[in-house]
Amino acid sequence: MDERRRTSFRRVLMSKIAIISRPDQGVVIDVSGCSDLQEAVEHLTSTLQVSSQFWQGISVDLNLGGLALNQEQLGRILTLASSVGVNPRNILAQNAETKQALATSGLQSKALQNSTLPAVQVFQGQASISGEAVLDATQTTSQTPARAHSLDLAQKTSESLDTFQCRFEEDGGEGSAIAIDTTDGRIVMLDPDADSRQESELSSVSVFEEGKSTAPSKDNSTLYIRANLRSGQAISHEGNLIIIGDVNAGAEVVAAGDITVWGALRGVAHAGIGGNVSAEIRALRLDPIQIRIGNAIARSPDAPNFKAGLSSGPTAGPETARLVDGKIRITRSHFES
Amino acid sequence: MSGRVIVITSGKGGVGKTTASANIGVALANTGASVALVDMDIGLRNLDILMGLENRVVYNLVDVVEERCKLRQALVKDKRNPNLSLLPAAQTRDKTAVNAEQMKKLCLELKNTFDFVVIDCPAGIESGFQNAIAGAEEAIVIVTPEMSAVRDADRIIGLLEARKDEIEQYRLVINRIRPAMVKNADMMSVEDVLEILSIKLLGVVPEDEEIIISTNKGEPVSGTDNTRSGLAFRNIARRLRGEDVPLMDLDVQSETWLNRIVKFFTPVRV
Repeated sequence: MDERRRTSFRRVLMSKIAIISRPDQGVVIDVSGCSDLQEAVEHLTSTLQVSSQFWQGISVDLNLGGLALNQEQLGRILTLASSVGVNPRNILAQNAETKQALATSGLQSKALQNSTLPAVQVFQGQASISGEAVLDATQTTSQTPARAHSLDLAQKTSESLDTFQCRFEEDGGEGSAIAIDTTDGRIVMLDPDADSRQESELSSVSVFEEGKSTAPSKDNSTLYIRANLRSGQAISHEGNLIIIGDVNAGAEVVAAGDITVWGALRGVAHAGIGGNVSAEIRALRLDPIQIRIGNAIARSPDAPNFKAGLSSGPTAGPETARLVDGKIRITRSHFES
Repeated sequence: MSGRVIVITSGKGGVGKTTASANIGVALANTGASVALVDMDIGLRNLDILMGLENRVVYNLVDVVEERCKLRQALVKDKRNPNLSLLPAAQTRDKTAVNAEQMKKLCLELKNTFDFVVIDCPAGIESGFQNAIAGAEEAIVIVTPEMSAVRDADRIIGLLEARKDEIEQYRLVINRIRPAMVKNADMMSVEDVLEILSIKLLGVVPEDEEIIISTNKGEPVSGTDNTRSGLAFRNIARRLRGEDVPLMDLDVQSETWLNRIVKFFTPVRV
């Protein structure tokens, strides 16, 4: 797997914090990608602010991952969360100190069920890799060999197909694979030979046949957001994403299905994450910095036009981006009455 | 008495936060209100220079917070308008010298004495920014018509929106606009900026060389007549006090006597 592809995948979700929505089960806010409290607080403050109303009535779980927090620090996180209207139903922690702090605060650290977090599927390329790819979960301390886990997980995940998908294309015959790391929402390269890779209780991996990978995400749930996404804010969803408002430059929207922006799309949008090649991105004004569909990336012209994405600018009106022969094509949208 | 705590912020540096703070402070004080200007840019204090009060600074904000002096001892009264006081930043300390709780307490104390507490926020989104907005109820976001400034302002507005409970309203001031460049589509227009940021506009300040002169003199332009930027800041102050003041005509610059003569002799095209 070449470096270029690696970086392009890594960029899928740059945030240290992931918002993972699960069909019928509310949302997991995952801060385990942050290395310390300061970082977690910063990312929570900046990323969660879609709108204070946004979180109302949504059942939220908070995953602290391996963060080591004492009681006071835990209190800070929870106060911060509640200040943006987030009152976590379950709090997940892997660090002993954090668990202790949770216990003394009268809160229980719960383990998420496998089915409650998006499982990760690693598709087997035609050059056939062995199914040993496992998730990179640095927080766990268990020393179980990778192979046993992946086999185990392959069975577990078969019942939860409504998942994030990540298509893997083998190009060098090397036994590496790409998987979405649910612990911090980023896509990581995995080396199945490395024994150091551990499986966490939050994640699961399964191996599928190549032929099934082009099927659209089975999860057809749609996340509907009525807000302007501003620079620094990010949303990802396993199904389709509809945003009533603008997605400004510096904001990121990621979805397994389609992305529809009823407003101007000026930031970065990635539809069909996991290889859904039929995903589309459409916006009333489509002037993104970058759009990505499945594995394809298109970028804005090199000569930036500050009028791009503005009503006084050159944009043609509603447009749709889709994959045609592996390349992203943008066409004017035609609405039939 | 309970005054209003207004933070002046931008994200990006160099767009005119401190200039705006000084000018809005002076203009508000000249409308008859009592005003405290608070320099929160600890370690990089400038507001005292702009106000021409550098030589009168004895105590500073950190001294107050750390209780080495009383608040009224640290407040420096303006040499022109007694309604206006400056709480200078510490120059020998850094942003970590205060925390959000201390700022909240300080703002509470200040607004008991003053009609307006205007806080000059440092650039960035780190602790300095977080402390500066901690006690604020209103925010003025300063932006220049440049992509980078607009991008940073967008980020800042996102952060302010997340504190809707504390910060009741936030409005935009577009600074350093150059009408001629806007006309040639070489610069974003007021409408362009508003379209991206989609927040309420408080005022537009034209680019003005007088600002540099006034900074050197330590006399904010809004305190003197005959400057276009000064007028713009006075209008902003009046809007802050609830007056309905229309935006100034940015094209005035082309209405010099020479232009008028040229116009007079130019046949009108229909």
